[in-house]
Amino acid sequence: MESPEASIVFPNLGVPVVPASPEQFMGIRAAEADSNVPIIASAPENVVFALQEDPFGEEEWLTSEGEEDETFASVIASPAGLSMEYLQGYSDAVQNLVGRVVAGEALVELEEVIPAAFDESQTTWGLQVTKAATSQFSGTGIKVAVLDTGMDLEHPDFAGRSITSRSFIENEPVHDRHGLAPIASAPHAVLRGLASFPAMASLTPRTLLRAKY
Amino acid sequence: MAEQEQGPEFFGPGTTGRTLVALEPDRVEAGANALSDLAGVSRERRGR
Repeated sequence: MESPEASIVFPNLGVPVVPASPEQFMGIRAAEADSNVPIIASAPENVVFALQEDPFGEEEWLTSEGEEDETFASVIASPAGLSMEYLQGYSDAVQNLVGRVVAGEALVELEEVIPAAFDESQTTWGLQVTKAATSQFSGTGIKVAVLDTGMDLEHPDFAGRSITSRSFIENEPVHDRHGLAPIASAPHAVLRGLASFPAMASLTPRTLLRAKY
Repeated sequence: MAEQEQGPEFFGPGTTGRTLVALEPDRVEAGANALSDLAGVSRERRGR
């Protein structure tokens, strides 16, 4: 990760990331309302980790004598600080799949492996997990920007949406009729089911594969 | 940089103290200049 003191400018996107004190941030926010200042919007940079880098806290890796606690030694040595509980669960799942394949069972699709905990007759699992389906907010007026390798602009879920697209790759359109990359990508998964929310969001897909941004 | 160290506390958990700014696509240069004045930062121009 870049140092918080470093400024980064993505010239093709027109997005700088700058260190700013609270007072400076408020000044930037105020400038958004000034039509003479070409600043559209601003937001604090937020970093989110899918898994905790330090699940226990550094001090808990030490005994009261200040020595490394063997209980956590395996965690420290594991990739990305993943807990033994997580790794054990992952190992069990892999062994289960391998055992079933070796036993002659057909390799099942991932969707069949995932327990049928989600009834997707109304909304997709993603909307359920993120609690979007039960949110008090409708998404009215929210603009969604998607940076991806391409998007199937003719997908039924996007019908009737206000879509503004741009490709940063010369001679390569945003629209990807084959849909290989977008279908496999997280943004597409997130956007699936948007049709359930008529008021929600206009879309701004940007094609970035191989682009310098 | 004591002032900047207040950033994450001010902006909340998970924030870095930096700010993302969207500039008007056709006026990036002018926007960067305005931002430089507002945030008081040098304009180090590079991508990732």
